[in-house]
Amino acid sequence: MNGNSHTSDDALLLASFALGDAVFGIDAQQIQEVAKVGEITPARHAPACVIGIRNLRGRVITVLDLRIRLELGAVQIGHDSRVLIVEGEGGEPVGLLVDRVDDMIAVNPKDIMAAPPNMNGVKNRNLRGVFRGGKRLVAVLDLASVLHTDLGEGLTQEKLTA
Amino acid sequence: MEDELLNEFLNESREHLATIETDLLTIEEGGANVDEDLVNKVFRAAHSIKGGSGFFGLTKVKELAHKAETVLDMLRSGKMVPNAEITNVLLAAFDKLREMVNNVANQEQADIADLLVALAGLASSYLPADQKASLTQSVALHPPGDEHTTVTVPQVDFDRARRSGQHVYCVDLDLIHDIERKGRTVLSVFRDIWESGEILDCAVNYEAVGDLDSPLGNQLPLRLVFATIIGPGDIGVLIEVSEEKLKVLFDPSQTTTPPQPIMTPVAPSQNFAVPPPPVPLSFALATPPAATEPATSTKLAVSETQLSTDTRTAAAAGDRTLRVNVTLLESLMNLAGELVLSRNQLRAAIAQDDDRSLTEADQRINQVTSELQDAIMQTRLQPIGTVFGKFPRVVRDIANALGKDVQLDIHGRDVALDKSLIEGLSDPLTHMVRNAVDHGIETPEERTRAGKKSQGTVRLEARHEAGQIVIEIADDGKGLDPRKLGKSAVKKGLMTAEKMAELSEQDLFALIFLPGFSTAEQVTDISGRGVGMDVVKTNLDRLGGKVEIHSVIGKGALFRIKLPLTLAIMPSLIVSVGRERFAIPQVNVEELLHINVEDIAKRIDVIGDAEVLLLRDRILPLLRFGTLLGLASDRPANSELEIAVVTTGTLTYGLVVDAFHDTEEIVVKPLGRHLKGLHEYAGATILGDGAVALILDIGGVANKAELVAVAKSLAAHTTIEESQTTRTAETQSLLLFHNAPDELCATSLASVLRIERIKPEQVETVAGRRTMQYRGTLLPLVTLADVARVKAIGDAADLVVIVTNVRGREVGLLGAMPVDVVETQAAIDLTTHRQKGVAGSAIIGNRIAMVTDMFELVDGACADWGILPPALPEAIATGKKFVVLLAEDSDFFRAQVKRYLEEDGDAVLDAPDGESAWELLLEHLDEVQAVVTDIEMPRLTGLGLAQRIRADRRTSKLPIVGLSSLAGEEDIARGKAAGFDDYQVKLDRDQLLAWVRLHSGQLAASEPALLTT
Repeated sequence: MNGNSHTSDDALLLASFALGDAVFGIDAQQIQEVAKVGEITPARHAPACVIGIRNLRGRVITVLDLRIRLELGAVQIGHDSRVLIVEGEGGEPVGLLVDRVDDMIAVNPKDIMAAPPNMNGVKNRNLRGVFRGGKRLVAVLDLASVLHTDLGEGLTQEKLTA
Repeated sequence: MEDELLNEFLNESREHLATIETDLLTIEEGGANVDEDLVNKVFRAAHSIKGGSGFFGLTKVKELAHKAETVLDMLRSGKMVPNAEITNVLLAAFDKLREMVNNVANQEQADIADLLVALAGLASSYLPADQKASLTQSVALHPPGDEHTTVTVPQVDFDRARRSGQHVYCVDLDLIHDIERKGRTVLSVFRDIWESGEILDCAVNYEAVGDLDSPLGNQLPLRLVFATIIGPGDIGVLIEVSEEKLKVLFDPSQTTTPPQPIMTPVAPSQNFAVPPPPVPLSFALATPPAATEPATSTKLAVSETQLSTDTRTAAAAGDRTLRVNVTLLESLMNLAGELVLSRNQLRAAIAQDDDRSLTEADQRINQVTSELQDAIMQTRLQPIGTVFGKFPRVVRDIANALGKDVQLDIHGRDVALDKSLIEGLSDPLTHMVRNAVDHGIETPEERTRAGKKSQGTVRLEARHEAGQIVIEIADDGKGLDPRKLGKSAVKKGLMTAEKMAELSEQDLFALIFLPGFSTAEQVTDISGRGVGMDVVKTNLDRLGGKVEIHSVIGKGALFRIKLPLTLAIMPSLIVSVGRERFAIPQVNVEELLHINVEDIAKRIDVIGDAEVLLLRDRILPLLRFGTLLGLASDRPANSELEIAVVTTGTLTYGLVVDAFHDTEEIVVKPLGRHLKGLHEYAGATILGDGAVALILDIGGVANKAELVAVAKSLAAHTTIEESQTTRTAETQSLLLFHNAPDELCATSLASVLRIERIKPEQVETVAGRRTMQYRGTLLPLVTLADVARVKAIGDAADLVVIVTNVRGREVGLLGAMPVDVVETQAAIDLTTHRQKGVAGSAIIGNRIAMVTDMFELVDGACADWGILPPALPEAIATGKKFVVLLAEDSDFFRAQVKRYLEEDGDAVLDAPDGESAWELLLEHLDEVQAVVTDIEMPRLTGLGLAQRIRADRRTSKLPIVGLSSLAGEEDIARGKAAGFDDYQVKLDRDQLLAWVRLHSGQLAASEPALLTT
């Protein structure tokens, strides 16, 4: 674990993973499980970042290639690639395909700084910030923004009060 | 036992009560035109509730049911004419009955006095004065020769029995020996009696039971008084009991004159307690306040209880039990038996380790399981009519309360939905229907002021559409005002005014689904209960449904609910393209075709861009699914084809896949948010091997492939075919020839001058122009490939020249043998194969023939040869259109002639028969300048049309030309007599155009009068 780790009550546990050479993190609480890639059925005509659908213990979940989603190329499915199962809008589990899963980092939310524009080449709105601990630089993803679809269904209350 | 029986009775009663509202409203609607069956049905319901409740000692239920029965009998016998007042009282009575049935434990506490008074008053007010007494009197009957036994029955009941020639019996049964020991129940005995008559009274004598020590302790005497048409000789078939226990109280055959058994009017029985002052004649008008007051309050009470308890009671009645058709239950039993047998078979096979028996057992279990699943699924399906059924009442009550006049139209009661959906829909629908009446429909005064019919209409419709259930609630009221909605949201602080300005109309409509949002300026009692559309939305979300709102201010509003596939399990065909598997719901699959390589040319036509499949007498669009998906097929091009003929109901097409697999029962799983926009998929499923397959939405796939345009033309095509079977179709003579060996072409024989076989070397090509020497001149030659995207005629072909006259010049069309002339009634499809040079296609003897358009061919191929269309007249060139009315029943000819005229700069009003042409003409009296009409048409022929035009002062001067395929001398004479100015041969474009120009006045001087060719 990281030397900088806080063990206070408001500690944030980040799950870190790799997309290409860059390291990213997501609030570990938002991850339900990490699964092997498994058999993915392509869904033709779907948005480019959707590589297909997959059976997760009887549920059919959508799997996004996180690299395509963040415009960082595409994941080459190999020995290390994994699917992070996260909870999307309305409790729907969504799979995020990543190149490699690293470790958990406990951080103090205060140590997450605003991300510089174009951190790791990722658009700012997809980032919650950046965490620097020792030599590590972890871009913390904003999950809601990453999972956002432009296929919204009309008016939601957030949209009104926003 | 008793409890079970009581439950059975209560369930049965609830079932009777469930449909009564609708029935009563229908009866009221019918007015004097009484639907006897329906009244009978309601009467029976009241009667059986009365009978059963007597047995169970539910005295209040019995009393109320009895009074209702009396009123219903008066309706049945025509003594009363149904009206709103009667219906109100009856509805209130049945509401009370339902309430009591749902809460039998407390039925004694129910307050039914007002209702009894109201019902008795109603009955009394419709009886002549001398018969009023009968309502309150009872009749004492004695069995012949037994003066000690006296049985008292209400006089109304007795009169009814006598009127219908029934015998009245009294039987003392022992509940234990005579009924239970014989494997029967009291209710089944009742039912038998109801088959042929009525039960007048029924009482258990508990006192006679005695104590346990008494030798007679094992008895439970039940006295039954009933009326039936069955005579004493045959009564044994109805009820098996020793003779001394059965007594005949009244036998109509033995008493022709008023009944001999002594009839003593006795003091008004307790059951018939009516307030002492005589009941006013007109109860509705309510003269003496004493009697009116309770009645009025009853009426008011009705609407109130109704509004608040309706849904609750309905739901309570339906939740716990499900009634299943006995046949269905029996088949379930059989299947369960089958399943046990199969299991035994399986066990034996495993014990013996016998592969063959294992396979057999597997197959058997497979089959039994799927049948079992089907049967169980069926038990869950309920018609949506069970929900819709309560709305006539809801609408009526709210409308009455608000002083509105609302008509409810219900469509699609039979649409079956899963029970869970039906239950979940009840509340949201009720709310929306109430809203429609409360907020949507205006008061009659408002409506009249707005120039609308004073009666508003609420339409409720359920239907299947593209694998979904669609339910619409529409009203023709004032509609939703999006701006008003927005302002209201701003006022309530739900959003800012700037935000509001950005919202689309749909977004503004959607505001009503926000919690705490209510549009009514004044909260009314009906809808403004703090439960708003947000709850409706939440409920529908839970069912996976979506709501769309459409509204036009002042015209009305439409709420459309779309619910997902009703059943979670669907039989589906699994197909594959490349390595991917897909599921096609079996309901969409019409048939599966395997087409061998050698048959492809015969079955699949590839003309231009469109691939079509010839299936018997149909042409279907063909879709290569792999191509649509951008998937590489496993199969080499030009190999055999696997085609699933799929249909959405309105659209049928062939879907080419790589392989068919099994039919599987699949469980439908919804797709995630990211895939919601893909309408080609209806969901996903997990196959037997754990892999995921997408379920195809056949309609969505067709949209994606843009098959709809093709489909429309094919649909039109089908319509033509259908309409032609119902009337004598117009026969056309077509000359068939070939272009490339697999391309069949046709041209109208009427335009052909000669056909000649030629040798390839006769065709000379000089400077890009193809000609041949012909009768001393050079004949220009064209081929279809010059203009249309078709194959070129092969060199080896056996050539023919089809000589036609185009604009006064002879032109040869090159074709290949074999050549044939057919008389056909086939419809010509004007869209599927339409392209330049090809007017359309027709199916001739199972093959598609492209019908050529010689004018387009010549214009396209030899534009520079001087065979140009005549220059446009000045008036047209300057944009002033000549308006022609065209009447022609053949879609092909109508479209063709219309195109000629329009291309020539005329405006065309077209109609498919004489009658509609006449209507059209009357609408456009000032515009129409000439009439072009076919002769043979349905409804009104061309001759009839001409006569009408000539006979009417306003139109008598219009020039009329008749169009005909072949015009004989006699026809011409008849046409002239009817008022035709001229005859033209159909499709002789130039002659027709010349005629139109002549009459448009532009060329009048330069051209001589035209005659038929």
